[in-house]
Amino acid sequence: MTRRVAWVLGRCGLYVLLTAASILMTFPLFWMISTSLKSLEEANAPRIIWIPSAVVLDAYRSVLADPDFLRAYVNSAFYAALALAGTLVSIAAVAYAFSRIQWPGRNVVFALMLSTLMIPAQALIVPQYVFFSRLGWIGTFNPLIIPGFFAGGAAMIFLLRQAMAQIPKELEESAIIDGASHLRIWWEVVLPLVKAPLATVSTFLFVGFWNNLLGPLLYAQTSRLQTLPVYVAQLYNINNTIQPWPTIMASAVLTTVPLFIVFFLAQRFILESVVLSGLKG
Amino acid sequence: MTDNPYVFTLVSALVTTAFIIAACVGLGGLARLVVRLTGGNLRRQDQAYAGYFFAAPWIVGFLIFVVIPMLASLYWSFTNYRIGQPTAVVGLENYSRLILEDREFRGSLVNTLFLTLIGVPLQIGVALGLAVLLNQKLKGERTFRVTFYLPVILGFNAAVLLCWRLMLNASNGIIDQAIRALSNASPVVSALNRGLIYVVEVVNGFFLGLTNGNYTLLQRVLETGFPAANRVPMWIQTPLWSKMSVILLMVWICGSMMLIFLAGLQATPRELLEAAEVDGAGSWRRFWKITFPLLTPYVFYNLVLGLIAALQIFEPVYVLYRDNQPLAPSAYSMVYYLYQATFRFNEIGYGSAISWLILIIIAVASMIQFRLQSRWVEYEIR
Amino acid sequence: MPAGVTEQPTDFAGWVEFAQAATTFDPATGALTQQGFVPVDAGTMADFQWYLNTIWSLGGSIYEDDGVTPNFDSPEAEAAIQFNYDMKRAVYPDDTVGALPAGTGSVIEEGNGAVCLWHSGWAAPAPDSAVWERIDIQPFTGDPTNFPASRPIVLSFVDWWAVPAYSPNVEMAAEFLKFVFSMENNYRYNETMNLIPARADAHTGYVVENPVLQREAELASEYSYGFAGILEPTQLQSILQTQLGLYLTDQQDRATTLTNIQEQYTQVLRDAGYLP
Repeated sequence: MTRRVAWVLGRCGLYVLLTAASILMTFPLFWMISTSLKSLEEANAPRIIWIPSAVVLDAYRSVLADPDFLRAYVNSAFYAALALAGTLVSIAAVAYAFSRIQWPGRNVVFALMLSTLMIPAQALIVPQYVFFSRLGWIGTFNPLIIPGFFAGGAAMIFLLRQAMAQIPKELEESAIIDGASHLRIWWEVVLPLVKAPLATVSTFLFVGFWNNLLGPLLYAQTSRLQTLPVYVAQLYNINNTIQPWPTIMASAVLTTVPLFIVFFLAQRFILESVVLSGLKG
Repeated sequence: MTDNPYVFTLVSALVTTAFIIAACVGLGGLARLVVRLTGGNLRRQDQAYAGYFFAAPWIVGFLIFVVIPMLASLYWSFTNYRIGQPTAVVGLENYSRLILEDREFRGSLVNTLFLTLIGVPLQIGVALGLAVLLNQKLKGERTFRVTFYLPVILGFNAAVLLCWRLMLNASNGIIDQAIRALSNASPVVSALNRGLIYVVEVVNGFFLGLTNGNYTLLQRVLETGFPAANRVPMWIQTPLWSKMSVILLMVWICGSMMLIFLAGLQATPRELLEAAEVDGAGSWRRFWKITFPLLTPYVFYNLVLGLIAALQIFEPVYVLYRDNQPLAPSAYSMVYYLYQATFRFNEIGYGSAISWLILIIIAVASMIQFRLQSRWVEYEIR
Repeated sequence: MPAGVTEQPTDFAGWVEFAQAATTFDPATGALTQQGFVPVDAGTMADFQWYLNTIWSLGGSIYEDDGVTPNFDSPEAEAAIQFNYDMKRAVYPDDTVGALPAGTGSVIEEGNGAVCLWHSGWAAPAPDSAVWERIDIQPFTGDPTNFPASRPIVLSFVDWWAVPAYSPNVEMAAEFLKFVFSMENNYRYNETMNLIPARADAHTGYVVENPVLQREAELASEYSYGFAGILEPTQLQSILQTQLGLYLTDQQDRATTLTNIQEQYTQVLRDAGYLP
């Protein structure tokens, strides 16, 4: 067997493996969509039906007609949007402080921030719950959104900070000569240069907010405030009566649509820049 | 206060923003003052002002949402505090109850151990494999990367987990149906299937025995011997399989680890590999002697983060086992137990003790990992 | 009822036989196709409500005569938990049998596989479903063969309201409770949820218009044994559910389970000040 043939066979084998792995990885997604388009009989059939024989949209109709689902959607969107706005701005500010300004105590505070990566967020939920309860914020969106305004999330700060640190000094210097304040430099010079990492951070933050289950479970439990994860989680089994599969899958598909959109818009940035996080040592 | 929750939150957000800006100015001014009083020049004063101005949101947030809660939680862990009821200091009672009497806490520890010993290495292995495959300079590699990372985005969404729940049903879930179809078609697959089932049940039986002090399930598995031909994994139905479902989900979501390994693979110096190839080393040897040792820092990174992530698993356990109380204790990790134990009866004191124990365990485990890293993590080729 | 069975079994042995006879598997999938007995949790069949129901049906009680000391070391408690276990093994001979396929709607609907539900209110089909014509609702009669004090029991879950002693306005709260539980308000309150009012004199209107609800109301009036004490919320449910779950999934043996329940619940009552 010549080397060339062996090489080509090797490549083919590689593609086969990768394709098989991709199919396995995305299979749940495919199954979700496929089942949501089936009729009830086909969904419950004892044999495997990969693709429904006829596309049936009843499941989607019933989900979209469900006012609780729609309200949960609105709640999730409100929560994610507001939290994203506040968190992104404050993270961008804090990352700027750690990367472009030399200030006394900077290294200590930076090390402190990194050390909080070790603290699992849930270790703090108990005292935070009491704190929010004393403020009267249980049963509102506040505990979900307000803490983010204080630049919550050391990993995101770190990511943005690494990106900002790589901007060459000269770009700043021309603005300094013009007498610009730090605020102007931040807004007009630095931020536009880190659009890709900002997109990455926004995506991660958004995904986190959209999928957050524990937070809304603790603070936004009432049916008026329910976000999608809380509402969907109890859809399976209401009074021991299992909801029709296509309906469950349809609500799942609708829930994940924003995730898809955001991910596909930003995937170019994410898949490159997670890599930038600087790991050795 | 208004009745409309959206308006209430929007107003709170505005108030918070004002508060933060005030804090920025205040903290910046304070820093500038301190620098001036300790004899710093004008430039240093300005730098101090700017630095603390921009960093203030995090600093204030750290104090309010991390330091104060942790101190409060430390105090409460020595009391029997429950919301709405009078508190009394009880010393080490919460801790002793946790360590000596709380069977479910010990169970969650054993589960975490299982997930870390078996789930995290599986994640790392699959992630490494995928990264190696992706690193072969293929066309369309970007598309594959997207599909492998997609589960990370979707993975902890409650709706997707609900789909998994339907897929994991032992009799007409798609996964077991597929396994059955493949086993009927090929005796090799069938033997592999039964062998794996046997191994999984024995290992799980052992760990359940550790949790319960009762090895009945393990004995029963051993007595029944090699599984019959029509056996399939039981996934979310029995305690012997409940953790495996969680691990399956963990492996599905290994995309971030894969990206880290990809970074490591791409950072391997080309010259080393080329020199080895010239010396006649085959690709397998090249991998194990050069590439893998250089990847060990990345393995270490994934291991540390993987452990912390395994401890914190919440969504999968909640959606899969929420209304199946008998199975949840055999699957949940420490943080889920924290949630359950605290909010079942609003026992804040007890929950605080659990939080601190978890923190101590993480600290110790991380320290051990960091100590051990000098043994097996190499930052340069010798 | 499966073919040939026209009335419900009369003692524990009869029940176990019935559950076994009415359960069928499919050897190809190794899973159930028909499940002879379904309590609230069809998979593990561990349910504390069913357990308490069984204890009461034997003439047993949760507390001893002083009304405070837990009675889980009694022969009734032991026989009841053994019965729960036997029923589980009658349906699932071992842990390799898959549960019923995840269907849609109530588990006792046509084609979904259940033959007998323990709790008629919990997984009930829709009131207008055709399957009701073939469903017979009866009280649970315990085990007269071994426990002569057995009696028919219908378990009522009464969602009740209580006022904590440290409330600022205890008297006013008590007045409010009396208001809520007047006949008319009790009726209205339950009408919104389609549940049976706790007051027998409120069993009118929507209760009697629906034959299923009417039958349940009749049985409730006559045989009901309410689970509505002030002590139980101090964690009895959580203790029972955990221990039952361990026993019925073979992670713990019967003696340890009963001892645990007894000791833990006694400790809880002691901590709450009900026991010395």
